[in-house]
Amino acid sequence: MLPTSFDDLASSSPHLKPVFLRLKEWKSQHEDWSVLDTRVLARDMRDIDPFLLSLALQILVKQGLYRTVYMVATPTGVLAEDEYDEISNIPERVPDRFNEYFSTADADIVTVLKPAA
Amino acid sequence: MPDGTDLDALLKLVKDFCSVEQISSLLRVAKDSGDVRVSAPTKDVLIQKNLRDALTSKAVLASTVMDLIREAEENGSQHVFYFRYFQKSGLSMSMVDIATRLWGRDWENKMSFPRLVLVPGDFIYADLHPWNEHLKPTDWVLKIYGQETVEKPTGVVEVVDENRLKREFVKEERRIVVVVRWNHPDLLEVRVPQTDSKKRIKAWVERTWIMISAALSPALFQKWDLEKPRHRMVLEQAKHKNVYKCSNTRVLDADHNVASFETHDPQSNLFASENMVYSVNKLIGDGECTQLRVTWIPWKNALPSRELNTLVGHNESNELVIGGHCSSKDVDYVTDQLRRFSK
Repeated sequence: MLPTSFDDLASSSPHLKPVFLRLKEWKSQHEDWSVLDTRVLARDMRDIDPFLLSLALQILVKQGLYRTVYMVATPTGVLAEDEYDEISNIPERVPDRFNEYFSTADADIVTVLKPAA
Repeated sequence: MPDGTDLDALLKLVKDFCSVEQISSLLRVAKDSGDVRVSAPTKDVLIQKNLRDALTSKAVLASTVMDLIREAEENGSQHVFYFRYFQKSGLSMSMVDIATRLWGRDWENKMSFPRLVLVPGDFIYADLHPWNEHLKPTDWVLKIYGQETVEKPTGVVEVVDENRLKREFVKEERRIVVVVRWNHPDLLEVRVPQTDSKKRIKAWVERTWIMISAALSPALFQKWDLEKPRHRMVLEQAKHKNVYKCSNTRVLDADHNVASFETHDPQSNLFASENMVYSVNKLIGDGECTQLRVTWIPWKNALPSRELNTLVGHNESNELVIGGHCSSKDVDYVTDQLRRFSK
């Protein structure tokens, strides 16, 4: 997604302008991240109203710029490698980043936004 | 041309290991020289009709299909264990000498490779072939097939009465492909498939050593400790940022404390943060890097052919985990890079 897309969205939704500009700034500081993790965004943007942040993220999806996928948090809290379109597709056991398998029954399932192809 | 049984086994291997694109490309090449149909509504039809017909009419040779299977099943989604050969032992490592030591002088007739049909619950020698006679004439690959039957739940549950349930399982045959690769001048690679069971990985490696011991005694080899390349790759990551990036590592400091460093996003670069560079370098100074997740980036000569995720060091210090299927050239590229960083 191009930075100008955030500018366009900020122009078309003036009430969400500060949120889109913050998202643009966050994205430029995390250029090599492949996804937007909603938990991380909420933590990094504590000064933003969570409702407005959620609304802005929904617009990113509705506009077709991002799509929602699911990832599994490893026991250390980072994201495991694979992503899933449906929660029901998540296997019973998946490898963490050091290839140690763990049960997904006890793991956090994280909703993330991935740039649309 | 394989007989009926072998043809069925050959087509089963194509189904298990080759993609629709790979099979279609093979048929497309043959189409120029014969009556071959490429398009098919499903992978099954592509294999059971189009490819079977092409093999029967000899528009496609069984040996060409075998090469495709070899490339697909021998590379990637594996744990690779590296062993260094004590060259002073003076034992010949040529393919013919290895084969003669394993199966006797008349080995070609006796073994009639490739063997495709599995033996239930057992491991068999399946193939022995040169790796790439033009590039590395002394390299070879020995392939072993194992067969395991696993019980897989179907998800069907029948309520028998108030206190009893019946869950349905189906038996599923699994082909275990173990590859022993001689990588001239001094490396033996034992490659086993990825699985979530460390016990199975260990058992497969031990079984392999038993099967090759008549030609290759374990005493002639030592584990190639990949600590040096890991260590160098951490310290020199900025210098080689076009070659690889690291997303997580585990470091053992001089007091045997263990620290793990992981990026939150699996695709991002651990060393994009200066704090991370400082912390890891500080700990690794008198300690060692026990595990390093490396993504190899395609660059010169289109190698690797795509971004390739590897874990250098896992349960064993000589172990490399390669995620996802890839080409033989990709695996060799990684091995060559590890050799380079071990100097």
